[in-house]
Amino acid sequence: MKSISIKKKFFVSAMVLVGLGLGISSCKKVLDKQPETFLTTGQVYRDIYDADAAIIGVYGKFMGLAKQYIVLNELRADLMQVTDNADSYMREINQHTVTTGNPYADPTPFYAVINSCNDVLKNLKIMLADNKIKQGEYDQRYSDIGALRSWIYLQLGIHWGDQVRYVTSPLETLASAKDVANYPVVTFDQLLDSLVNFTSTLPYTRPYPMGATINTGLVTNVDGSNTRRFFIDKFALLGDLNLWKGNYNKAATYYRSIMEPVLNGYDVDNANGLYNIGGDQYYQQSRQAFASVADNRDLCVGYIRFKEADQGSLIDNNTQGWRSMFARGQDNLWMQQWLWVLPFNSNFAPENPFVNMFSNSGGSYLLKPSKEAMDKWNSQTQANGFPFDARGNFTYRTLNGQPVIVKYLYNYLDASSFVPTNPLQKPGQWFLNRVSNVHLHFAEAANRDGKRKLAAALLNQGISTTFDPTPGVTGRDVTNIMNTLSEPYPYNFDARNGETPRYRGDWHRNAGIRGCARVNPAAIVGDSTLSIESSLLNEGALELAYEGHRWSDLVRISIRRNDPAILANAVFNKLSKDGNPAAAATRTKLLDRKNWYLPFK
Amino acid sequence: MRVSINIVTCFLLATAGLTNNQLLAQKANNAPTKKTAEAQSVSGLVKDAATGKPLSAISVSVEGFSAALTDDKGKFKIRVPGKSATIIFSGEGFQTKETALRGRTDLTVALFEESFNSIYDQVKLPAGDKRGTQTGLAVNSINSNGNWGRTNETTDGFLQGRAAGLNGTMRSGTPNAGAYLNIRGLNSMYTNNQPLVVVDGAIYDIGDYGSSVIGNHYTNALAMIDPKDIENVTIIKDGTSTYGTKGANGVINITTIHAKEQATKIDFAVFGGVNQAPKNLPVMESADYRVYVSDLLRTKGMTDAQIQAQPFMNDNTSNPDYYRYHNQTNWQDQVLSNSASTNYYLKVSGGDNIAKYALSLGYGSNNGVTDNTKMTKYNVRFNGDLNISSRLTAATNFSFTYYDHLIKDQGLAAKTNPLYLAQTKAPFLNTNEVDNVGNISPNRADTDIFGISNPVAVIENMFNSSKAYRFFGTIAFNYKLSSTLNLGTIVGITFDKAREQRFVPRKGVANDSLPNAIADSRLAGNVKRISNLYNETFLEYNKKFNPLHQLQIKTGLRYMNATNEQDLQIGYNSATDDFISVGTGVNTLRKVGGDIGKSAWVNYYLSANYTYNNKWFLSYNMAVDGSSRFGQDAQEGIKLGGNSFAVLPSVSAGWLVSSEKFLAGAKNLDLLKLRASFGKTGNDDLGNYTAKQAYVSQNLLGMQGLVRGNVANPQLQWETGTRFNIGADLSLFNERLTFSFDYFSNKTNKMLSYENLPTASGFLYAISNTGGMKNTGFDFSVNARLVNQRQFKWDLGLVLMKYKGTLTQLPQDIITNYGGASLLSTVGGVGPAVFYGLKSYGVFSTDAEATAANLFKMLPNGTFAPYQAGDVRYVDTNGDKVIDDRDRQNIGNPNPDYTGAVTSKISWKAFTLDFLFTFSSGNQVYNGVREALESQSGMENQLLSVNNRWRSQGQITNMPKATWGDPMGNAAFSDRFIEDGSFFRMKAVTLNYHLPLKATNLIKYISFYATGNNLLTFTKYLGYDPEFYGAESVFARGIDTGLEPISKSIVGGIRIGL
Repeated sequence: MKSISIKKKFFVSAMVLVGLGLGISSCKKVLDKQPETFLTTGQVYRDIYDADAAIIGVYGKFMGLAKQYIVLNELRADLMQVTDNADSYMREINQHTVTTGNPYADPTPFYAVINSCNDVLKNLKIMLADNKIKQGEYDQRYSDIGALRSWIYLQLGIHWGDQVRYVTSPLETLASAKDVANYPVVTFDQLLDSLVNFTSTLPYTRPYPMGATINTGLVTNVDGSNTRRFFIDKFALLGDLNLWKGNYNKAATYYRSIMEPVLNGYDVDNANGLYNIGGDQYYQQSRQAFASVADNRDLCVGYIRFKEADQGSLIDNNTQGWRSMFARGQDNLWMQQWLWVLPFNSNFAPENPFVNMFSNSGGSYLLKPSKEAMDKWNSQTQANGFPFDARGNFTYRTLNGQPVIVKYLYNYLDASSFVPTNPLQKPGQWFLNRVSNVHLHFAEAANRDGKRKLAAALLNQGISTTFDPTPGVTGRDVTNIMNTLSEPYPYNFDARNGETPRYRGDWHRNAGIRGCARVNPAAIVGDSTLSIESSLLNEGALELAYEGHRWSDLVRISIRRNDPAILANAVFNKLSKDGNPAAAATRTKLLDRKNWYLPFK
Repeated sequence: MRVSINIVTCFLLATAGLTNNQLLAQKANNAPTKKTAEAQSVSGLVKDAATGKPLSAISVSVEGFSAALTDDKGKFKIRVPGKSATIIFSGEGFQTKETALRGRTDLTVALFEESFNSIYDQVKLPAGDKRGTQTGLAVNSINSNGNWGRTNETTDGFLQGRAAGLNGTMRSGTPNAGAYLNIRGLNSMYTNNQPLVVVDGAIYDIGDYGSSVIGNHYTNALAMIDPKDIENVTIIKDGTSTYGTKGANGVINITTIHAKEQATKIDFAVFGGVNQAPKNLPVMESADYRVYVSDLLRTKGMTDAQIQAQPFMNDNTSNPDYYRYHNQTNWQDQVLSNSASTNYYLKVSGGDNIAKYALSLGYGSNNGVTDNTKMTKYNVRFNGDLNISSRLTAATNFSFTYYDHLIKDQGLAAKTNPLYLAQTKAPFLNTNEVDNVGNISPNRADTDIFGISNPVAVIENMFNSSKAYRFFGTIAFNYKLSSTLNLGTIVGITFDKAREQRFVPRKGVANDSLPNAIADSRLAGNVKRISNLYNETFLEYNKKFNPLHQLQIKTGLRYMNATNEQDLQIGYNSATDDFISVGTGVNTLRKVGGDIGKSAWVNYYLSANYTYNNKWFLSYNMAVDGSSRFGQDAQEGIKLGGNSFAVLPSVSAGWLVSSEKFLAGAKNLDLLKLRASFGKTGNDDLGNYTAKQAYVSQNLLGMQGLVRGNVANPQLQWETGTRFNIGADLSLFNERLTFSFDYFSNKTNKMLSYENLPTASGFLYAISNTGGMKNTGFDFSVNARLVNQRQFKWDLGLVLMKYKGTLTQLPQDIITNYGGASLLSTVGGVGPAVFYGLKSYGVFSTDAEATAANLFKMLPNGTFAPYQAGDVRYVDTNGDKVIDDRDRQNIGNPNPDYTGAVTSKISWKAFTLDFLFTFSSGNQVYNGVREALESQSGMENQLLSVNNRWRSQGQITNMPKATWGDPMGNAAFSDRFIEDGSFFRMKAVTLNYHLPLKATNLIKYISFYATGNNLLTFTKYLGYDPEFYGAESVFARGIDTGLEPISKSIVGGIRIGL
C-alpha cells in the first residue's frame, strides 16, 4: 500500500514536473521564434557590414524611382512628348491634367526610400553611440544617406510643392505610422530651409574615399561596374539647395568643391598616377575640358581633324566624342564627366525602364522628343557653320521613321545599326548628375552673385578664351590674362596657358559648355544677368535633355524671377507645336504657380 | 524577477486543479457506500424496436449506482436512487439508450440496431467521451462504420453533408483534392476559416503551406487519412474555447480505429471503378470557327483579301497549308477520357488483455479524367492499446501515408492548362504535324501560328508530379491516480513532406517571356515540409458525489511547435526536352526561393463540467493562450513573462426537459433538450512573424542590402471571437423522428485587416486588428425512420444550414481581384466579399440606339470611344457617361443562402441502399471559363453561343460582336458571367449486399458494394460544374477559373471478413 503510494507520488511528481517544465520554458523561450527569411530588430545594425548593407539596400530601393523621376522631370516640362502608345496617365502628366490614381503622381515610392533613409539615419546614430562603428565610418555613411534623403525631399518639393510631409521618423510601429505628429506639412520654402539646415550640418561631404584607412566596403567593383559614382554627390546637392534658396555665393562655393576635384576626394585613380600634376586627368577632371582634336579622345562634339566642314565626318560613335559619355564604360574620360550614375544590369532587378519607355524596337516607345526640343537644337549654329547642334543628333535619332530618345539606349542598341544587340538584354544607366550640370549651376549662381563674365565664360567659350582680350594670339606673356585670380574664392580660376613664362593653369583646358559642344557662343541681349540666366536655362535643355533636370530648372528660374510665364510658355510651346488643343488652356493654368504642383494624395 | 513570476504563474495554473481535486477526492470516497433514503426499484421490458421481440442479456444500469441484465423474456428489475433517475440500456448489436424514469416504475424500452443514428451516440469532446445527450454544447457525432462503399473519397470529402453546421465544398474533381470544410460560415477575412482538426487527441495540421509549382494544385492533408480507418468524427461547433486561439472555427475531432475486442478480426477489401469524363463544353467546330475568325480579323483592320490570304482560310487543296488547317479536331476529346481506380485494403485487429492492436494497410490508385493524370496511394496504420499496469495505460496511433500524383496544370494557366487549351484551340488544326500533301506525322504539332499550345503535347510531354508523405503518430499515457483522478499526456508528431517536380517542354507549348530571356522549356522542383511537435498533459478529476451530482474537471497544458519549410527551384531552357530535371536548365536563369515558418503555441486550459441528475449539464471552459505570433503589446488578454496571452472563457448549459416529471405524461416524447452556450475563442492564424519589424533583402546589382519591409505592429494580437449558440434536440416516437435545431451568432472582434497607411509613410498598408465581422445563422437536422421492420428499414434525413456573414468594422473598403473577378468587402454589405462588377442590360442593337445612350469608354491612350451597335450596354451607375471602374456595383454573392444534404438509407434483407444528396442554393458563381470562351477578342475557340453574336444593325441578341482585343470591354467582369451556382446533386449512392456466413467458418462474411458518385446533378450552371473551391481565400469563393471538374464515377468492390 505504502509502496504504491510512493510510486504514485513519484509518478505524479514526474508528470507534474514534465508539465511544469514545458510550462516554464513555454512562458519564456519557447514563444520566441525568430524569422529566417527576413531579419528583425536586433538582427540588423550590429556592425559595419550591417551598416553597409543598409546603405546598399537604400540605393537598391532608390533605383526603383528611375522611371517616375524621368517622367516627372521631363514629361512635365517642354522637351519630352508622349507617343501614340502612351497610356492616359502619361498623357495626363504631359498636359498637366493629373487625376487621382495616376501612378506617376503618387509620392509613395519616394517616401518608401525616405523611410529607409530615416531608418538608417536613426540606427547609425545608435550604432555610433554603442560603439559599433567608428566616428569616421559613421560620418561617411550618415552623410551619404542624409544627403540622399534631402535630394529626394527636394524632388518632392519640386513636384508636390507646398503639400510635402517632412517625415524624419523611421515610423517603426503602426502607432507611430498613424501619428499625424510624424507628418508635418511644410511649404516648399519651409522645406528648403529644413533641407539646407539639415544638409549643411552633415559631417562628411566628399565622395567615399578609396583604399583609405577607414573601412570603405562600399566602394568596390560589382557586376561589371565600380560603385564609386553610385552615391549621391553631396557638394552638388548642397550647391543645388543653396541655389534654390538664393544663397548664390554659398552655392557657388559648394559647386567649386567639385570643380577642384583633387582637393576634394575625387582622386579616383591615384594608383595609376594619372592625377600627378600635369596629367590629362588632372586638367580634365570636372573641368569641362576642350576637345582633343587630333584623336577625339574627349567628350566634346568633334569632327575628324581637318574635315570639320564635312558633315559626314561628325564623330558619332560609342568611344569618342560627346555621344560616348552615354555609352562608354567607366574609364578616365567617363570619370571626368559623371558624378552620379546608377547602372541597370539585365541579370538583376530592377529591369531597365528606359528601353521600354524610349525604344521602338524591343520597347514600347511611349515617349519621344517634342518638336520644341528638336527646334531648340536646330536653331543653334555650330562653330563650323552647320545650322544645328550636334548634341541633338546624339540625344535623339530617327529610327524606323520615328524620333527616338537614344541617350539612354546606347548600351542597348548596336553602335552603328541601332538595332538591339540582344532584345532580351537591356543594359542601361540612370544618369543623375554630371559635371556639365554643375558648371551650368555654378554659372547660374555666379551670374546672380555678380560674376556675369565668369558665368558667360563657363557657358560659352571657357575661361581662358573669355578672359583673354586677344584670343588666339600666340607667344604672349599670359601672367595677367586668362584668369580670374583677382576674384575671391570660389570665383578665382587660373586658366593661363602660355610658354614664356610657361603657364599651365589648372583650368587652361576649360572650353565652356558651348565650346565643348562646338556651338557658337550665346549672345547677351539686354539685361546681362537675365540674358545670361536665360541662356543658361536654354543650355541646360540642349546639354542635359532627358537627364531629369529640365522641370526643376524651369521651376527654379520662374520662381526666382517671379515670372510663371517662363514655365508656362515652355510647356505651351511644346504642346502647341505638338498640336495639342489644350496648349493655351494649359498655359493659362500654369501661369498660376499653384498649378505647377501635383496633388498630394 | 520576470522568470520567477512566470514560474509561479505557470505553477499555479498547472496545479490549481490538482490540489483542489485531491481534497474533493478524499471527501468523495465514501459516497458509493451511502444508501440514499429514497432508493427503490423499477422493473421493465426491453424489446427489439424493429421486431418487437424481447431482448435478453441487455445491460441495464444506473451509472455509478446499480446494474442488471435482462432475462430470457427481456425483463429486468433494477434498484434506482429515485424516481427521477436515468437508466442506461446497452447490448451487443444494439444502440445505447438512456431513459429517464420521470416517476415511472414500469418501463418498456425498444432498442434499435447498433448502426442506428441515435441521439444517444457517443460524442468525443476535449473534456472526455460523453453520450450525446449529456452535454450543453452543439455537437454532432458521425460513426463512420468504415465508409466502405465510398472507397475513393478523402476524409474531408466524406464529411460533406454528414452534419448540420459542417459545410463541405469539393475543391475540384482531382483525386485527393477533397473538400473545403467549414463550420458555420466565415468568421474572418484574412485568417483561416477552416476548423481545427484533432486526430487521436493531437492537433492534425491541415494547412497547405507555401506555394505549389503546379498550377492550382492543392496538397490536401486530410487525404492522408483513409476514411476506412476512422471510427468516429465528432464535430464541435461551439464550446471550443479550451482550444483557445486555435478553436475559433470549431473542432473536428477524429478518432481512428482501435480493436474493440480481443479476438482477431480481419477485413480485406478490393475495389475497382471507372471515372467518367465530363461532358464537353459546346465549343465551335471548324466551320463556325472560321466564320468567327474572319469576323474578328476584320475588326483588326484586315481587308477581306488579307483575310482570304490567311493560310487557314484557303480552300485550295493544292495550297501547301491546306491540310494543316483543314482538320476537324475535337480537342476536349483529346484531353479528357474515362479512367480507372483500384483500391485494396486490409484491416486486422485483436490482441489480449495486455495489448490490443488495430492494423490497416491500404493501396489504391485513382486516375483523373484528364489524360495522363494518375494518383497512387499507400497507407499504413498501427494503433495499439496497452494496459501496462492496473493504473497505467497507453495508446499509440501511428500512421504513414504516401502518395504519388501525376497531375496537370489547372485554372489560370493559359499556356499549360490542357483543359483550357482544349477548349480554346482552333478546331481546324491537327494534333500532329501535317505535311503539304496531307500526310500526318507521328510527331505532335508545335505551338500554332496563333501562339496557342498543343493540348495533346501538354498532356503527353508536360510533367507535373507531386509525391507526398505524412507520418502522424501519437502516444498517450494515462495514469489512474485514484478512482477519481487521472493524469495523462499525449505526444503527437507530424512529419510531412511534399515533393513536386515540373517540366514544361518547349515543343508544343507556347513560350514564356522572362525579363532577360525567352523561356521555352520550364523546369521546377519544390519541396514543402511540415514538422510539428504536439504535447498535451492534463489532470482529470471525475466524481459522482451522490447519485445526483457529478463533477468532472480537467486541467492541462497544450503545446505545439510547428515548422513549415519550402524550398523551391525554377529553371528554364534545358538543352533538349529530354532533360527534365531542374538542374539541367540554363545556370544564369535559375531561381531559387523558399520560406521557413516557425511558430509555438501554448495553451493552458481548464474544463469543469457539472451534471445534476443526468438532466442538467453545466460546463465552464477556459483557455489562456500564448503564441509566438502575438505581438508583445497586445491590447487584450494578460501579460505573462513579457508575452501576451489570450484569456478565453466559455460557459454552456443543457437541460433535458424530457427528464422532468412534468413531462411524464408525454408518452411519445423520448427526449427534449435545450442548450445554450456562450464563450470566447480566438484565431492565431496571423502569419508567423507579422507582428515583427521586418528587414528584407534588397539588391543593388548583385550586392545584397537590407531595407525596412514593413511597419511593425507590436500590438498585433489574436482575433477574438464570441460564440453564442442556443439549440434544442427533440426525439419523438421512440426515436423514429429526431430533430435538432441550433441558432448561432458569431462575432469576430479584432479581426485581422490590412489598414491603409498615410502616403508619406512610404508603405501602403500595415496589418492590424481593425476589422470586425458578424456571422449568424442556423443549423437544422431531422432524421426519421420511415419504415421499421425486421427485413425492411428506411431512414431519411435532412441537414440544412444557413449562415450570413456581415462585416461590422473595416479600416476601409476592400476591393480585391481574383481570377478575373473583382470583389467588394464593405461594412454592412450583403456578404463579406461580393462580386463587384459592371451591370449590363443587353447589347446595343443599332448605332442609333448606341448614340442615344451616349456612353463612352476611355481607351488606354486616354481618348474616349463611343459605344456602338454590337457592344454591351452597361449601366452607367454614376451617370458620368463613361463606363469604368466607378460604375461597378454588387452583381452577385458567392455565399449560398442555404446548403445541406439529404440522406436516405434503405435496408432490405441483406441489401442496403444508401443515398447522399448534397445541395447549395442561392450562391452566385463567376464563370471565368465562359468569360474566356465568349470574350470574342482573340484566336481562342469560343462556345457555340457565340454564333449568336451581334452581326448586323437591328439584330437583337445578348451576345456582343466579335472585336479584336475587345477595346470596349464587352468581356469585362460583369453580370454577363455571373450565374446561379445552385445545385442539387446525388453525391453518392451505394448498394451493399452483406452476406453473413457461419461464425465458425474461416470466412465470416462477404459484402458486395456498388457505388455511384455524382451520377446526377441538377443545376442551371453553364460551366462543367458549379461546385469547386479554387483557393482558401475568402476572395476566391465562387470564381470558376477552370479547375478539373467533378466527374461521375462508379466503383464496385468486395469485402471479406475473416
